[in-house]
Order: sequence, then structure tokens, then C-alpha cells
Amino acid sequence: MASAGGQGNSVSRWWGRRMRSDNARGYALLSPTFFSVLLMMALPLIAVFVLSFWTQKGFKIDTAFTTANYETFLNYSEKPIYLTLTLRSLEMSLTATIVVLLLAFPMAYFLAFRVTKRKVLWLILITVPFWTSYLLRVFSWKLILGYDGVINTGLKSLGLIDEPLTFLLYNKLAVTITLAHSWVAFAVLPIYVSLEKIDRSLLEAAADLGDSPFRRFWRVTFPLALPGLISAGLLVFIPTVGDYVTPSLVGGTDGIMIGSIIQTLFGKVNNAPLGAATSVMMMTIVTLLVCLFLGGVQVLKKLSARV
Amino acid sequence: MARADYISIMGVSKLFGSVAAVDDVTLDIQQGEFFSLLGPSGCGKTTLLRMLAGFERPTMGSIDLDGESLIDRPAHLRPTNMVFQSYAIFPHLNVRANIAYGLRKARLPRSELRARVEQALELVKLTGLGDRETGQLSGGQKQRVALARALIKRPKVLLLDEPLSALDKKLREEMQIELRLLQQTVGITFVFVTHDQEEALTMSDRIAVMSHGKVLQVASPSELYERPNCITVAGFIGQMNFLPARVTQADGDNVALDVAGFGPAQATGGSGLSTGGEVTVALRPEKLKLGNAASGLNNSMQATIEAVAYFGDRVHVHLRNPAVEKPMLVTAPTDATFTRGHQITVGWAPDAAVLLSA
Amino acid sequence: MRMRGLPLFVYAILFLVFIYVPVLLLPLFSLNDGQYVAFPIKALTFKWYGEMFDASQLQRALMNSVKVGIAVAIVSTLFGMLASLSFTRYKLRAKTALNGFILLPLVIPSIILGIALLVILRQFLDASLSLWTVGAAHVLICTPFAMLVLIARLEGFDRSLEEASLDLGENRFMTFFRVTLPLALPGVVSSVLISFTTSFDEFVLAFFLSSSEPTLPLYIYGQLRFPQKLPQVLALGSCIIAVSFILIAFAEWYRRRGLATTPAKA
Repeated sequence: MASAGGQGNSVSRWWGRRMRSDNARGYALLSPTFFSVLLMMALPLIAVFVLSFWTQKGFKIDTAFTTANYETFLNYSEKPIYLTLTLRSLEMSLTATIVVLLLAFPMAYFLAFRVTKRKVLWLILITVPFWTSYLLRVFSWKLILGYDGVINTGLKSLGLIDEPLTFLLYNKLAVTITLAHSWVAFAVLPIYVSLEKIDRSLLEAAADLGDSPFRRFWRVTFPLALPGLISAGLLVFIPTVGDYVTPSLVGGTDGIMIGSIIQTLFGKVNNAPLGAATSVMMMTIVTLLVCLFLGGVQVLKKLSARV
Repeated sequence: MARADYISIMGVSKLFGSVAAVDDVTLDIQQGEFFSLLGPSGCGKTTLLRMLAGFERPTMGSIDLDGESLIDRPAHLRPTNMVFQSYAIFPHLNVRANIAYGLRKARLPRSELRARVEQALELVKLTGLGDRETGQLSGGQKQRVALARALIKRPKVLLLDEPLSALDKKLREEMQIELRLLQQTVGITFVFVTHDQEEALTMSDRIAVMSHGKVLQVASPSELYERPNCITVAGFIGQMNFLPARVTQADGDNVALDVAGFGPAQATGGSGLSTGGEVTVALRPEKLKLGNAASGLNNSMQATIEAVAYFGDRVHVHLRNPAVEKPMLVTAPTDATFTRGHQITVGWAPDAAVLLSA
Repeated sequence: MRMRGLPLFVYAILFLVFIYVPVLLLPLFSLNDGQYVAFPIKALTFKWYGEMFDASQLQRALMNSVKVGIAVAIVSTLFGMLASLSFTRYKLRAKTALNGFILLPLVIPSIILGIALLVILRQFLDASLSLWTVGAAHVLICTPFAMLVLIARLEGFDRSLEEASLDLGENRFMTFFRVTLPLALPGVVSSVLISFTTSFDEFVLAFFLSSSEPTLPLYIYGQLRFPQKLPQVLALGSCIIAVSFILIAFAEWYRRRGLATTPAKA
């Protein structure tokens, strides 16, 4: 009896070790990726945070702790540029995001509910243009919207205008159009996936319970597509807030965004600590907005799921 | 007064491309009846149900409900409701909101809405679960939510598309009885689609057996079992031994036959047969008698016991006779002993057989 | 039914026009015989394609981008494979958090990642910038893509295939090469393609982290401001579109072949 018990014990101990070593193997496999992200993302972000509390003195960095950079950023009365540009960036990204979602949703809906054959072909058709250089795509909007651009020459040859329209390029409108064009394909995919996942019998059930096609859309399709819409929205909003390439090419002075300021602070102006503080503020504001938005969505969901 | 043609399906066909999923079906369903559409998968029963619900449009024919044509009415304007095979519970709504879904148009005051949902929850024995998220429900509970959601609309007809097929055996048997009781309580006409003949027999008032888009027979469960009208129905409902035979003498209801293995035999129910014609003798396993029990019967033969299977309350005996192509199945009480390889007498009474056209 | 779908179909066509027109302008202007990239189009010429082959700076930038792209594709796919194996094959305790951490670079604006890497390299480590630093940054943003693609593929196939291999006496290491990798190959191919194209087209990180050796997007950015050499860039852009089309066609052919034949035959 005693020996049998001992044997059982050693077996269970052997199993325990095995289980542990199994998990350890999983962590070991993950570690190269994990540490590379830690090293190349987390550490540098901490460095930026630390730098934002230092100051630039000529070509040297003064490492004494100070919140002066943040005070500069928040000082609207004397240096309104930081807050103004942050707000303008948020506004422009938000506009672009909404435009993108409005453009992408019907396309995703068409793909998910109307295309029965050759879905892959349609998906490829949508993604192919985005294999071309981002910069060249932005540039070609200059060709379309510019003084001698497609629209102006086209309208002139039709005799609709005498003088080229100048409000097309180098302003917020141009930035919004260009951003929308750059990101719209990325937004189609997540929306398409969430629409495609909707069990068709749910729509039949809604019809069966008395909903017209319009009602069905708002009560079943739309709420179930919401996760896709939200991830598409975040996928567009977050990167575009920090964009400075698009504004610098088609935005003119009117379309400058906060990313341009960060870039100049690290470049020409050579005030890295202030640039770091601006970056930290931008990240914080974006994160807060995203959290607020997601929280709001959760609350709305909870409310609408009840009777 | 219950109408006999509450639902009237007349000459309905549904073509998908050139394939007829439903082929010229005509049948009437009575008000307040538990009616089943029974058949193997692909026989068109689900398509027929979906035409009743309004998800498919018949290629030909008409469907009336309570004297009104349904053909041009879209699904959302029909007084029918459906319990889906997958339940189709809305994942973004909780139990209460799922059940209340169809009441939006009624614009009830909040208190009455809640009261009706509570009532529905009680009806399907889910009292207290109204605030649950649907992700936390078991298969059986989802089934009940789907039922409550449809019944709360007080439909004229409740359509059920294989609602029990996803449940395990024990739960399924419980739900069969519960559904039947529920139907009797609410008094609504149920049209129930299933491929499980046992399920159809235990629950239904009447059953339509379908195959390849056609309705083969519409009858009560006992009539289907006792008097199937063709080989397909006889084979689909319960177990059946089929023996080829020739009519040697037709005399009204009584006929003399020459049955494979048994030789000369007497049977009733032969009206309409003519001397010299081919016929199939269909015998239920429990109608065949073995050994001493078969001694008084004229229609008998000797056969070899090929296999014996024990079922607790009965024994299945497989018999072999060189003149019969397939082994015959006989059910017998457990008190007798059967030994593999032994010879035994098997026989049947003249009124035990069903005579079907060959 | 048909009529109900029509407005959406028209919309889908307009959508395609919207996304294609700006892209197709590039090949059009690459054939324009005029120094300035503007309307009206003068005459058709192939001279920019010829000059493209003579432009040494352009070729150098192209080579730099290809070098970085290939290295990034390999390293990111490797990292992505390791991470996706550990997430799909083991029950890790903090799985969601770890997964989210690796995906984080996707939701941080690249300007932030760029300056963060710049800060730590210049202010804290005093390291010099090179194509290596650009490549490292690109690995950071390509690894999440690689991981997502590979997780989808690894979750898609029957775990018992690997168990069968272990049962037949093959060790874990060889099981990976004989069973897992062949089955995951379509995922590996798309991971490599996605990583390469992402790196090849990436501008912001390269802008902050490169030295005197420019990548192709940096070179293009420079030409956008000094438009004399722009037609050559457009010629190159058109070539890239053509190559992309061929690559996609190849990938699609490969995917279909992968569907048609069972991987066991390989």
C-alpha cells in the first residue's frame, strides 16, 4: 500500500513538473518578441517621458527636473500654438475618421450582403491601390486639387469656371480628403468582417418578429457591426492625429497639425524636451479621448440592451 | 369553431435553379393543431416552413392563413412567428430585450411590456433570468428564450424549425413533452419541422411525411404507423420488414398470397388488388411471432437465428431464410431464450400485414 | 431583389473610382513629356523610365529599401511566428495582456514611436543612426501584423495533427518543421509580404531614424519638394504598382493552390 501511494505521489509530481515546464516553454517562445517590443517601444516611451521633464539649454540638455515644458504647452495666453494645433489636429482627424467610416460602411455592407461570388476579387480590388507609395498617393491629390489640377482644368475646359478654384488645395478640406482616401480601405476590412460574421438567421428572426428592412438594419445589423466600426474608427483616428506628412504636402499653413510641431521641435527648432512634452500630452489626450469614447459606447450598449 | 383549412397550402412549388425543393404540395392544417413536417434532410420540409414564414417565395401555388392569402406579404407583416434551428438569439441584447423584441410596434406602456415579458418568461420556465446576458445561457435555455420571444407576439401560427436537434437526448425528450403541453396550454397552431420520426410521433396531432419535395402521406401518428400508404413512408416510420409477394387469389378484402419464404399466406386489407399482381407485404417486427407463439398461425416458415440483440425490455432477433433477400427483424419478449444458429418458426396473423404496391 | 441591390452596386463602383483615380494618375504622368508634373499632358514618352535607370541616387535608395524590407520581413515573421506559437499552443496566464502589449505599436502614432526611438538612441545611448535603426523600428511595427496573420493561420488547423506527429515519435522541434511549418506556410508567405510592403512604404520612422542613407520613401519625399526629378519617381512608382499587381496575383494563385492540394502531399 505504502509503495503504491509513493508511486502515485511521484507520478503526480512528475505531472506537476511537466505542466510547469510546458508553460515555461510557452513563455520562452514568447520572450524574444516580448523583449524586443519592451526594448524598442516601452523603454523609448519611458525615455520620452523622462526627457519631457528636462530642458534644452543651447546644445546641451539640463537634466534638472522641471515641469516648464508642460507649462509652455498649456500656457494658452502666451503660446496658444500648442493647444490650438492639438485641438485642430483632433478636429481634423475626427472629421477624416467620420468621413472614412461613412464611405467605408456602405462598401463593407455591399461586400458582406450583396456580393455572393468573387468576394476575394473585390477585396483584392479594394486593397491593391494601397500597395503604392503613400507619399505618391498623397502627391497625386495635389495633382487633382491643385491650381493646374484635374478638377480645375476639367472645369475650365467645360467652361464652368474662368479662374482656377483656389479653395481646393492647401487647407483643411484637402487634408481631410487626402486622409480619407489614404485610410478608407483599412476601414472597410474590419467593418466587413463584423458584418460577415452576423448570422443571417438573426435578420430573419427580426423580420419574423415584425421589423421592416429599415428597422432590422438599425436594431440588428448596426449594433452587431458596431465593434467593427469602432475598431475601424480607432484604426484611422489614432494614427492620423499624429500625421504630419499629409498636412505638410497638401495642408498649407491652414492645415498644419500637431505632428508638424513635434517634428520641427525635434528638427529645426532643436528643443527635444519640449517636443517630448508635446508628444506626451498628445498621447495622453488621445488615450483619454479613446477611453472616454469606449466607456461611453459601453454605457450606451448596456442601456440599449435593456427594456 | 376550429377551421379545418386554417392554413391552406395549394399547389406550392419552390424551384432553386432547376431543382424543385418543394414540388406541388397541397395540404391543409387545422386551427389549434400540432402539425409536423417529417422527412429526411433535403426533402423540402424546411423550405416549406420558410415559405410559411415568408423567407422564401413560392415559385408556384398559394398559401392562405385564416382565409387570407400570405403570398404577397413580407415576413415582417405575417401573423406567424418562428423558432429557428440555431435559435437566432440576438447576442447584443439580454434575455428580456430578446423576448420584448417583437413588441416594439405595439407601443405598450413600460409596465405592461414588463408584465408581458414576465408572463412569457414564466410560460417557458425562465422566471428570474430576464436580466441574463444571452452568452451565459445553455442550449436548452436559449431554446426557451426563442420560444418565449415568438409566443409573446401571440402569433396565429408558430413555426418550429428542428428546434430540438441541437439538444442532447435526455433534454430533448423532456422538451418534447413540455412543448406539447405548452402547445395545448396556449392553443396556438404549431407547425413543427423534424427529421426525427420518434419526435414527430410522440408530439403531433398529424404528420405530413415528405420526400424529394413531395408530401407522401398526411395522417395521425397511429394511422401512419399502422397504415402507411407506401414503402417509403413505411420504411421511414419505425422499423419494417418488406417481403415481395404475388396475389394468387383476390376476393374483396381477403387475399391469398404467395410470399417470399413463407409460401402460401392469407392477408386482409387487399381491396383493390387483382389476381396475379405483385405486392409488397410489410410486417412490423412486433407483429411477427416466434416459436410457440407462432404455432397457431398459418402464415409461417422456418428460419435461422442469425443474431440476437438485448434491449432490456425486449429482444431483437434477426432471422435468415434463404428465400428472403434481407434478414428479418423480430421483436420478442425477454422471457424466451434464443440461441444463435438455431432454427425457429416465425409466423404472422392475416391482419398483421400491410399490403403495399410493389 | 436585383433592383434592391443596384444602388449599392453603383456606390461600390464609385468607391472603386475614388480609390483608383489618384493612383492611376501616377502612371499617366510618368508617360508625360514635360518637366513639370501638371496638366495639360503634352506628349507621351518613355524617357523617364530610361532616366530612372540612370539615376544613381534613386537606385541607391531603392536598394536600401529592398535591403531593409527583406531583413524586416524575415525578422518580423520570425518574431511573429514565435509569439503566435506561444499564444496558440500554450495556456499562458497573462495571455490577453501580453498579446495586447505586442499589438500596442499598431495603435501608437508612428511619429511618437519615431521620436521615442530617436530620443533613446541619441539622448540616452548616444548611438549613431543607420539603416539598422530604421530596420529595427520597422520590425517593431511589422511584428504585430505578422503575429495576427500567423495566429489566424495556426488557430485554423487541427491540433491533433501535431499530436499525431508527437505520437509517432517525432520531437517537438522536428514536429514544427515537418508538420506545423508546412501547414502554416500560406500564413508565413502573407506575413512576409505584409511586412515587406509595410517596411518598403514606411516614411515617418525612416525620416527620424535614418542617417545619410535614404530609403526610397525618403528619396521620394525629397523629390516632391524639388520637382525636377519627379517624373522619374513617378516612373518608379508605376513600376512598383506593376510589381505589386504581379505579387498579388502570385499570392492569390498560391492561396488557391494551397486550398486545392492538401499540405500532406508536400
